[in-house]
Amino acid sequence: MRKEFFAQTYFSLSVVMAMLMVAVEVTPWVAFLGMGMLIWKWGTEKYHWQGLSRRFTGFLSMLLLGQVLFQYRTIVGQEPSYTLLLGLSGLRVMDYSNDRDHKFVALLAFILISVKALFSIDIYWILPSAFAFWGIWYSLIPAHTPAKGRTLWKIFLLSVPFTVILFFAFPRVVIPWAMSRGSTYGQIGFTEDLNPGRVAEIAGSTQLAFRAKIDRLPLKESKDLYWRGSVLSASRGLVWRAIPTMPNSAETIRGRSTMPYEVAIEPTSQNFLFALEGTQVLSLEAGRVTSLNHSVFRTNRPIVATTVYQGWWGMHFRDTTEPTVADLKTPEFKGKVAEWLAEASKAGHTPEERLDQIKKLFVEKKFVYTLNPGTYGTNDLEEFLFERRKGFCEHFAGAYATLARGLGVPARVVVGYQGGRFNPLGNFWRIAQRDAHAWAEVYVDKTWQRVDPTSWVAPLRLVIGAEEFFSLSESDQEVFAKQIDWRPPSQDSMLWWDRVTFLMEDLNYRWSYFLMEFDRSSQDSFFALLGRYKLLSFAGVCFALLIFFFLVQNLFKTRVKISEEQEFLNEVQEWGLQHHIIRAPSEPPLQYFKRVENKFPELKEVLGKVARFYDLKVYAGQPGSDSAKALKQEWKSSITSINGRGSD
Amino acid sequence: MSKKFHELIAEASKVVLDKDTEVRLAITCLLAGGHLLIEDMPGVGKTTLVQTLGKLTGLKTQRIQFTIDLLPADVLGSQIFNPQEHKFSFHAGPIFAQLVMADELNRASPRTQSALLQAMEEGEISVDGMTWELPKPFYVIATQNPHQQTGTFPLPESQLDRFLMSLELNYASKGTEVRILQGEDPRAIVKRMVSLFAEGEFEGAVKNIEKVKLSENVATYIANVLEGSRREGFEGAPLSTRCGISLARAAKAWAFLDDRDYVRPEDVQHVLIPVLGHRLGGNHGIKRGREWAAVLKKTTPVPV
Repeated sequence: MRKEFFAQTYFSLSVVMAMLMVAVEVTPWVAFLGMGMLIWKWGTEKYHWQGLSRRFTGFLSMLLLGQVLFQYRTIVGQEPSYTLLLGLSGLRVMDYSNDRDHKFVALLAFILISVKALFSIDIYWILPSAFAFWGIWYSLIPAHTPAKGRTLWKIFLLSVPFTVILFFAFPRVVIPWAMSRGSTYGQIGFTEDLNPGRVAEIAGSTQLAFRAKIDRLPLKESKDLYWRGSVLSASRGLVWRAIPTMPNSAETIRGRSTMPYEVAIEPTSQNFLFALEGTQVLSLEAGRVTSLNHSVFRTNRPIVATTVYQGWWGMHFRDTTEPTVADLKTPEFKGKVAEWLAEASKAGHTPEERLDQIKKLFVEKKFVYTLNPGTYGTNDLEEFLFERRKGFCEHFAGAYATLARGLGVPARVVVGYQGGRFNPLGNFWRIAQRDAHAWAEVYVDKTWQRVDPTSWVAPLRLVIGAEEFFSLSESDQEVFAKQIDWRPPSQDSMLWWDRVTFLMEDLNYRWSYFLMEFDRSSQDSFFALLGRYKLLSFAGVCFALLIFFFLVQNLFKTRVKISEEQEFLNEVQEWGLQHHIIRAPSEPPLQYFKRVENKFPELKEVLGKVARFYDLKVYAGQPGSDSAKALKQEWKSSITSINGRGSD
Repeated sequence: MSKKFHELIAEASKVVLDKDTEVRLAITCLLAGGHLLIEDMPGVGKTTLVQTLGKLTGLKTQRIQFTIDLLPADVLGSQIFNPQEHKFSFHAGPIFAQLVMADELNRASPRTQSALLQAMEEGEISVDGMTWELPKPFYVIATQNPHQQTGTFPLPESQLDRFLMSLELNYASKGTEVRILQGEDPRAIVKRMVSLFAEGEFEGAVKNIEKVKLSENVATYIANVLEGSRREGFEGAPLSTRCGISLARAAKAWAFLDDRDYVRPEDVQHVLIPVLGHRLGGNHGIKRGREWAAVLKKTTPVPV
């Protein structure tokens, strides 16, 4: 009775959990619909509210399909299918009344959990998934099974070795239908354009962009880390665009001077691969990386799941590509900008001297570095430089590069990420959307050299990283922006909360890395490692499996020993079931034997003996006169003769 | 021993036609040492059944017709002054018998009812501070009209509990009625009947019931039944442990009538509705109670 209640409650909680896990991924209305249905169902059960008829829920299902088609124009892809699944689950819960519905709801919940697992491998989901999975399985085991919990554990443990073998045998593949992830996914809104405010918009999000392990590199500080995403070469003042370039042929330079590092990037549905400045080569799975000019890298397929790639960094690597005419093209300068350019070009003769004029402008005039620069009109460059003087990194970089071109120095803008937050426990850097950044590069001394105008306006941002910097209040940002020595007060003593965050992050990283890393090539190298011991290890695995099964079987042996008389009853019941003579739980066994006997008079003799045996043993407490073994034999031969006759 | 009882059943069935199960249940009730309550419309053979049983078992039978103005003294007896001896002497009432038939018990006032019911419980009565033992064995077979009839005082639940079983006789089938109409007047047959039992023989049989074996399996079944009545959502009144004891006793008696010295779940199922009906029904009436008992019978799993 209490067990039943437990199983039911646990099952409903599991379904709610499965729905919630998916609900966070989709548009809110369907989540509300699902939850509303659950609450309504609860109300009908508990307070006898008016239920919905099957016909009506069927109608609602059609409406749901219509709405999904209308909203997404398709039902393929993650978000529309999630939406449909979730809505259907909610509606089916509404219909829930008999055992068949129960199985259907369980199936839907299973699909929800698996779908979630396919897309999100975060370790945080393991616990709720396990909770829901367990509850649904528990509800599916027949109620009269003895020791349901133990049975479940047994099934679970027996499945573990198979899971491991399957994991090694079938490496992770990219699922084709997962390609279209919908518009809200991959908030890393990187495009080939740089509109004022675009980077600021990205930096407004604290979501994880990627993690990187760079401990073999001499770069140890936030201010040294420039993650290049895209190079923009077409200037329109503050606004910059990328010029489409042909990809370079993939060349492999892994000389002594290059050092490897690793990046695990979160799904973006885009092709950007972020590489540290100074990276010569990136390697993903074979043939999937293309390198563009200016050491910028792309994949040939959008990244739809967490992906790990390697970078090869060279300390003396310089981009020495000759600038083209495009690198000097500027929009037409007017008004104050033209005046300033004229003045500045007189001031120096060498490119360095002229560039210093721009730096002087940024340093001497009071520019403000802010996440909320506001929008700029058509005459944006003049407005920014001489009137408002408020901007984010992209404004400074864009303005700097345009002015540099105006002074005759080839220049371009690079967008990507800068810095990150170091996790001392896992020894990796966590780069969030927050760290999005833009800077400039100028061609001086026959190399492209990085110039980060933000470092003149708000050097603190580069030193302490974006996360700490933006956690300051806006007025503090302005005050502290130029005090490089300023440090957040809690820097030295790590708070327990930070510790927990770092630990969880580290755990999650290891987990996803472990799952992600095992792709086709890892499998190959794994098998190569086994080498000529392949056969031996195969035998070893088989042996270990056997031992494991034996152990589990023994550990979880159902302790309820079946007595002889119960065995008889089970035998007869099983046979009766085949002939549609079913014993209700309230029917006494002897009565049941009689019923079977009435239907099959030829079993009268043996069933009489079985009944007598049962009767005496269970109710009278005396050992029967018949030998159980002989009787069993008799029963077996009797039913075989009947079965044989039946099949003729 | 039980051979005599088979004879008893056969003989009784000659008078109370086509009511074999009811007759057998009534005898089971007496064998189990319990009181019996028969509820039905007037004129379906309640009185005939009781008279037949009294005659055949050789128990000393008394009949009390309950009416609204019947007083406790009319049932128990009273102290009467004896002028010759200058003291009070006890004048025993009709209750001083082995088989008391309380006809239409629910027509009497609650006060009179409780006088009888107290005697049923304790096996003795007290009048004016003096206590008198009732004869042994002491059975009460009460009949009552369905309580929606006018002029009845329904028995309170605590007093219903003192009856081991309750029975309904129901109308006889058409064929049976034809046979009754054509046949001899049952009253005449009853009059001719002689006891099948020697003095004290019936009482001895009742003692033997205790020896019938109740296995753990069947005891578990009875416990399951009790548990089922206490489940949330079950409409009947929850059953007490004493009720379980009654059920076990009645099942033993049934098994005894079946020539067995051990109980099967089938025995429990046979007596389940009569034993539990009036207890489950409470103030909803015996009829509802019997329906609920049937539900319990159908939903309680038999341990295997």
